[in-house]
This record gives sequence, C-alpha cells and structure tokens, in this order.
Amino acid sequence: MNELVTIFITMALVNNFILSRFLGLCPFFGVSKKLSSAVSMGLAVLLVMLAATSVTWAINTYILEPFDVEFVMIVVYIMVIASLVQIIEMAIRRTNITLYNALGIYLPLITTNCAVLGVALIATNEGYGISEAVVAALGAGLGFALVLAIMSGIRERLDLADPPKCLRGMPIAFLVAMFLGLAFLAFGGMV
Amino acid sequence: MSEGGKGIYPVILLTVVVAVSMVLLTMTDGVTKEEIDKRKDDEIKEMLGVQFEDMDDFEYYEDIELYIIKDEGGNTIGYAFKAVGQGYGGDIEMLVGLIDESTIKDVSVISHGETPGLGAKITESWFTDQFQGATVDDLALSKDGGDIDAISGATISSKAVVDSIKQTALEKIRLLKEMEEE
Amino acid sequence: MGNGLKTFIKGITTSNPVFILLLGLCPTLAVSTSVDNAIGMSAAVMFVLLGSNITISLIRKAIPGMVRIPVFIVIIATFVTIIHLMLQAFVPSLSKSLGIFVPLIVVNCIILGRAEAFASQNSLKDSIADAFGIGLGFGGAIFIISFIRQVLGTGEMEVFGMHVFTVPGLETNNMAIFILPMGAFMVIGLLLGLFRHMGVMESE
Repeated sequence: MNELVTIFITMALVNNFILSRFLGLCPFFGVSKKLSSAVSMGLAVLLVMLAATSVTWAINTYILEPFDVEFVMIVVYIMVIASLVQIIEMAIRRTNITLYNALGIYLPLITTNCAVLGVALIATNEGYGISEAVVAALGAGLGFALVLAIMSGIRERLDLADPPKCLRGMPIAFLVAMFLGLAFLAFGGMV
Repeated sequence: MSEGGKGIYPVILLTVVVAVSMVLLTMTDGVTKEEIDKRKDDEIKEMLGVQFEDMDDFEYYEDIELYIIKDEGGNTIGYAFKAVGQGYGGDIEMLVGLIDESTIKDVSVISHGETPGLGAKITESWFTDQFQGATVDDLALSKDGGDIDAISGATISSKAVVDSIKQTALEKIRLLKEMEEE
Repeated sequence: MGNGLKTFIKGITTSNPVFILLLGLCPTLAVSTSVDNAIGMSAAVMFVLLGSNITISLIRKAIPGMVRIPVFIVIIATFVTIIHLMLQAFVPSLSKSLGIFVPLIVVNCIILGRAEAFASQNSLKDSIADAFGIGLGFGGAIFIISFIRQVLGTGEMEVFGMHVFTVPGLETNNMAIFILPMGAFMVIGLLLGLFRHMGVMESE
C-alpha cells in the first residue's frame, strides 16, 4: 500500500508530467483561459491514460513478453491509444454533446499527447504490476489536470496584466511554467 | 490522395501497411537483438571486473542465477549475484560479489529510485565499502547489532540494502550447496 | 529545383518547427540538457522524418482519406521502432540518455504534422526537401537551446567527450538551474521573447 501511495505522489507531484518530465506540453500551452475547459481536458486525458495504461499493460504482459515480440511495442501501444481516443470521443459525443463541442479538436489530439504514451511506457519500463500501473496513470492524469487548471487560472489573470509586447502570449507562458516548476520542486521533500 | 474509401479497400490497405511494418520490424529485431543482449552482458561483465580485478571469465548458472568468477587459470575465485531490495522509491538493484560461501567481496548498486541526498547515498563508496569482507551470517545494521552504519536520515534505504543482500546471499549459497551435492 | 530549395529553406526559417510552429516541444525541452543529446535526438528525428515523408509521399495516391491517420501512425511508428532498436544496439549510451523520448518520437507533432500537411500532398522530391528543412530547423533549435543550457549550467562545453571550451569564472559558479526543467522553460521563453523583439517573429 505504501508503495502505491509513493508511486501516486511521485507521478502527480514530485515528477509532475508537465513541469518535470516535459510530457503533455502541447495541450498545456494551448489550453484555453477558461478553467472549465482546462478541467474538462484534464479529465479527458486522465480517462484515456487510465484506459490506455491498463490495456497496454495487459497486452504487454500476456502477449508481447510471452511471445518475445517486444519490438512491436511502439506500434501496438500507439494504435491502442488511437483506438481508445476514438471510442471515448464517440462515447462523449453520444452522452454529452456540450462537452464534446467544448473540447473540439483537442479530443482527437489526445492521441498525440506524449503524456498518455509516456505513462504507458513508464509503467512498462518500470515493470509495474496492474495495480501499480493504474495508480501511476491516476497520479499522472490528476497531476496533469491539476497543472492545466492552475495554468488556465494564471493565464486568465495574465490577460489583465501588461507584459512587454515581445513577451506576450507564448513567451510569458513559458516563464510562468518555469515558476510553477520551481514551486513544484518543493514536493521533492515529500518522498 | 485518393478520395472515397468505400467498401473494403481502406481496410485492406491498412492491413497491408501493418503487415509490411511487421515484416520490417521483425527484420530489424533480428539484426539488433544479438547486439542488445550483448550490451547487457557487457555491462554486467564490466561491473564484475571492477569487483574482481583478477577476473578473466565468468560462468552463469541460469537455474540459480549465480555468476561464477574465474581467473586465468580457470580457478573459481568468487561468486556474484543480483539482489533486489524494496527501497523507499522502488526497487534497489545491486550486484553482490562473494569471495567464498560466507564472505562478501563487494557491493555495487546497479539502479535505484531513492531520494537524492538521502537514500541515494547508498551508491557512495563509504557506504558500500562497509560490505567488503563482511560475513553474510552476521550482516546487519549497527542499530541491529551488526557492523553496517546506516545513512543518517535514510534508514529505510539502508535497511532495504542490508536485508536484501543478506537474504539473497543466504539463498544463493544454499542453492549452490544443493547443486554441488548433486 | 527552385521549389524544393524554397521548401527546404522554409523548414529552417519561416516554418521552423520549434520557434514558429511551436511543435515538438516535449523532446526539445527534455533532451536539451546537453549538446550531445541534442545532436543525437535531431539525428533520430531526421531519420524518422525522412523515412515517413518519403514513404507517405510515395504511396500518397493510394491512401484513402478515411484511414490516412492510422496509416500515417503505423508508418511513423515503424520508423521510430527501427531507430529505437538501432540505437539500443549500436549507440547504447545515447539510447540511455534520451530514454523514453526516442519511442515518444512517434507522437512528436512535427512528424505527424508534416505527413498530414505536406508529404501526403506533395511530390517525392519536395517531401524530401521538406524533411531535410524541418529536420534541420528542429536540430538547429534544439542545438541553440542545449548550447545555452549546457554552457550556463555547467560552465563548459563538452561534445562527445571532447572538451571544447570553458567559460572562465562560470565553471566554478555554474548556474545549475539551467540544467533543471525550469531552466528549459526559462531559456525557450526568453529566446522566443528575443526573437519577437528582434522582429524575426510576430508578437501576439
């Protein structure tokens, strides 16, 4: 149990996917300034992460390793993720059309989100069992969503501030990320 | 880009692409697999060579996962095995060398996930040097009556190292004796 | 020939994948801790980019619109796996330093982006020029960032084990923050600001 908690905290905070591992940067910087969209995006990514990590873990444990074909891992994993995103996209469209419209193009883009493939690969490389893999995905996704939410709040405020013309938009977003990363360094003391 | 995509053609194309991909990857795997395995062997060989300066070659008993270190004359000068402990940040993988069936030659940390500045100090020589010449049976932390000083502030990492080395060593020695009796 | 050359130059400058298109940020920031890593990563990305652009351009007329994304992905993933295995076997130290970012090339938006936006619609010759241009643009960007980070972060420049120069005074007082993740954010943020200020890029 202790180990699971450590994995969770490490994935979510200490080695936060965005601020520490540089995974999932594209949606992070493209995130809208509305807190609600940022949270929706974060939760959608969390959902895909949980599904993807479980499925890829099963495939690796029961097919790739026993048959010694680990070299097809990259192709198989990305196809799994692409399919899961399609399925989740259709599910959201059928159940909650407002959410579907709010996420727009960002939904299919979750396929190329390095954080999703990243957590699946990390779970495989670290040799996690199924419970550890699920906890890792949970931590990674929640950490991702958390930073996304914080960033959207900050960007909202930034709009009202008056940075130098050359820094407006992306440059200052990067600098904000730097300070966020600095703040998150403090979590290192937790484990 | 051809338009349409009605009927079964798109599926056929995708299947063909996947099939070609599999063929290419199997070929690449065939070419690289040997090298990759060799790299892993080279790593172990290098670590063993550091621990046993007189090492000329080694044998690997697969069933009990034990390395037999031999010198130029083919004499057995020691043994080595991998021990894995449950540290604070996950697995601590170590290579443990034995002079004989009761004494430790040296300990090298292969990989770990411990906290930098605390548990990560298990890789520092002042810590691992303590194991040189230690007896397996008496191996313990000072606070448990033994001779190994723990890293201050990182008792869990230190204990994980000591416990796993002792347990694995005792088991390997037992298995080795069983093998020799056959 | 003019068209190919134009495409090539565009990839490095006005369509620079990192500084202008803002694609492929993840590996750029993650592996820019040293120039060695930067060069290795650029080479790997160039390999995949060339492979995928060429393949997709060659068969572009046979790919129906409906399955094009899965087809692109499988092709890209194949080349990524090939370079991943090759690096593990023949340049293991680089493979270790780049870590999961080699497999992650498969979701690098640059490659999928070029496949969709260019290779699937242009001739083989132009697609090759595009791959070279974009690849060099990426390499150049990641080189600049890693150069800055390595010099300021360690006080000296070492490439492939060869010592190139030391900055006097900086070696003992190196600013380790540049090697840390936040240093990466800072460097690219300031660089982007600088480029915009210089008028090379447009501000928002």
